[in-house]
Amino acid sequence: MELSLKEMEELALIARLYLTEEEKKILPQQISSILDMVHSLETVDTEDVEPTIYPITGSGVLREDEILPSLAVKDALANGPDIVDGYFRVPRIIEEEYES
Amino acid sequence: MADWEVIIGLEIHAELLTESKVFCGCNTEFGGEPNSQVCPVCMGLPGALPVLNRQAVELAIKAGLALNCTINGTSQFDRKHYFYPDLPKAYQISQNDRPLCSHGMVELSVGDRKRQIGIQRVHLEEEAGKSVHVGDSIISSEYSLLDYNRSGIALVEIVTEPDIRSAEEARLFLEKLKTLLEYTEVSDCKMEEGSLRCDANISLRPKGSSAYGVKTEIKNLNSFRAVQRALEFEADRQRRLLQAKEVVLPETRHWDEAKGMTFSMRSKAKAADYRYMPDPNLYPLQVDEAWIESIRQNLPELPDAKRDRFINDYDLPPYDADVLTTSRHLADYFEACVQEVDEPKLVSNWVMGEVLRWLKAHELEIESSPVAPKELGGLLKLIQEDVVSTIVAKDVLSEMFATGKSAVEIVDEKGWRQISDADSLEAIIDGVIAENPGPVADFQKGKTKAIGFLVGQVMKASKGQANPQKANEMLRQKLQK
Repeated sequence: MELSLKEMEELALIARLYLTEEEKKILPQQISSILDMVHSLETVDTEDVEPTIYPITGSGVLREDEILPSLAVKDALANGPDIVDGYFRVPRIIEEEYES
Repeated sequence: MADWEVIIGLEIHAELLTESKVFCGCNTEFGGEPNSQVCPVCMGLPGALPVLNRQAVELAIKAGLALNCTINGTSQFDRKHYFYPDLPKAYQISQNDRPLCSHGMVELSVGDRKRQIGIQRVHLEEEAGKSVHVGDSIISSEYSLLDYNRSGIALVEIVTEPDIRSAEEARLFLEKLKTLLEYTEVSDCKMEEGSLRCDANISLRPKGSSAYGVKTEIKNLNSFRAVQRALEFEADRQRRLLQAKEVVLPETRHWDEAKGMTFSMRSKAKAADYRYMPDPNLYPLQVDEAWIESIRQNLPELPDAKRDRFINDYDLPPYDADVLTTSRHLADYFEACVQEVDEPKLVSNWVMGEVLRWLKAHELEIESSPVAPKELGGLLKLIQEDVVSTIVAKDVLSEMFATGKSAVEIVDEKGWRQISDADSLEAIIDGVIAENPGPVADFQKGKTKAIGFLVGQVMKASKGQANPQKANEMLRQKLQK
């Protein structure tokens, strides 16, 4: 089943991908074929199979709770395009509007 | 008109008391210079890899055990994706499908009733950075300033079952939870510093119905009082809508403390889709039974057990035991003081009354009280030995808080020893009798209440230093002659 243009646009929005008109035409088709391929897994009987949590076995390494040096403030801020008083400044972020 | 049942579930975030962050070694101390406690990991720089902090796991397990949860031997970290400037990686490392702890329960006393509030899960995750909004409020800000010192601090998210049935119960639950997290030293639970935060879900349904109604989520709850007020407001708002046959919209609402109302936060975007996926940078977390057991063995005595012990061992009224066990430090203070003065109810009265009052006046916590338990014990011994009256003892304590001196020092310096010897008292009493012929006559006519007034005059004349029992006895003897 092919993805609708609307679904495509919603997907792009939540991933913050900005698609050209050209891409909007070809991507639904391509994503749909990927989805079809993944759906083929549904035909496999997994009744008695433990779900895989992680592809390799073993357990993670834990570190001790020790403070390590942080970056110097000037280095931490070095990549910021707009720095004010040691902060990163960004446009107003609240995406909500209020009503009573 | 239908009777409505209120259904509440809470989501609590508590910062864990680790020295370093959950996936990197940056310092977690509060109040540092902006962006001075950051590194490539907690700023989400490309290629940086997280390594889990053992102590964060330990504290989360402790929280789970204190909340009677099952600790899951295998749990898993997931990425929760959303775009917000306080989240530099554009995903938060959290636990979705397999949390570290689940299926817990907290028992609550609501009036005379016991209530059991289910804990759905306790999971580990990382903090976001902090946005400082420039302008009057979140709404009028033109831009925001970002400080990532908080980014990556270890958090537990605690989610209750929808078992809470009133705004008051919600507040009681939070108080209990805070006590548990403080006792176990999992979190310092400072709401004013944001180390404990709470969101609430609330819906109404007709009494007797088993289906849930439409719920709203309330945010911006900055104190336990705010939680209770916001939920009371919201329950009332929903009740009025439902009774008017209108609908409750499933939405997030913002509590406005000053206005005492909740407001809709209508999002322009579509409903959130976090696109959870297992974080490939982190192995599943394996916790073996031996580790869990050693944490269990090392849990401190929890508030309910302590409360019961205070009632049984010290013969305290339940009210006293409740108040004294609200904080582990307060309970320790009380017990240290009972070591000095073997009269638990006397100690309890003073700790709950005068000591807490002076601490509040001096804006101090019990653990930094200038009057140590031993010193309070010294004062209470003076009461037991009739060296000072209760009234004078209150002044002595006030001096102890102000000067840090011992009770005996203060009493001697100020000449506040109680007058109990008959000769000194007699002179004062004779004076009072001579100056108050009216009340004296009243007493002799059988108005026994007049004796209280006369004792009061004796206390006044002696600047509070007369022994009131003695004065009472001697007055009666003289007047009945």
